[in-house]
Amino acid sequence: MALRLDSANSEIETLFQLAGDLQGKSVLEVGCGDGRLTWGYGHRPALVYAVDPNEVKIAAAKRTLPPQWYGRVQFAAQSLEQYYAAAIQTPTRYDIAIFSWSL
Amino acid sequence: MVHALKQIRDLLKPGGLLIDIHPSGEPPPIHVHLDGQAICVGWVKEENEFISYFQTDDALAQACQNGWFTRQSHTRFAFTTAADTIQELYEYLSQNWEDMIIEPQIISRAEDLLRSSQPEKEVQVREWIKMTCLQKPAKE
Repeated sequence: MALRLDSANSEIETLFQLAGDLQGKSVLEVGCGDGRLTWGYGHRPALVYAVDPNEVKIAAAKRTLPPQWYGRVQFAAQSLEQYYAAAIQTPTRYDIAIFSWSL
Repeated sequence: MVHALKQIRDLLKPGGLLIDIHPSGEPPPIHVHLDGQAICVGWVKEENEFISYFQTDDALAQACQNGWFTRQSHTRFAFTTAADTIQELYEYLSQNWEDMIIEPQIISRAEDLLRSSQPEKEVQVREWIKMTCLQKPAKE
């Protein structure tokens, strides 16, 4: 049997308790890794942009991304610093930012 | 860390929320579960990483003192990582947790227990994780 991470869904339930149900929101996730946390909430926001400097993990996240989430949920191999340098020049701003075990 | 919080603040809408998730720093216990009974076989140690967890707490407090955010709520939850064998658990943790240490005697103790003929058995690490919600002011 495979490794089991947070089988009680404690992390995602706690996220919804503190941040609300994320329905229709725009979310920036920093330190997304292979998408472990993203899979738990990604069906709800209008937009998710998830970054992590680890290219291998981001590649895994992109492979696992459900087709019905394409365009709405994006992963990028970037540090926060790199993303900030580009994003601050644009009008894009988020409703919610998540530091996922990464601050 | 404080610099990263300033950047996140800039990328949030007015009134936007920041959620921070990080380990509490308490040593995570390792349990072997046999048919519903939990037996503690030891704890995961960290060389230095626990220091960064306290630095994260300080950075969040500093960001609030700077007026960048107000703290809305905080809580903690238990995050469990479970496997059928201690080898599988150790391999996963060593790939994903940079400076974690599990002493050899803990591994032996877990292996001995998992040799049990009981059908329902697993080994589990339980970490206490802090989650904090900060809010950017609605008006600058």
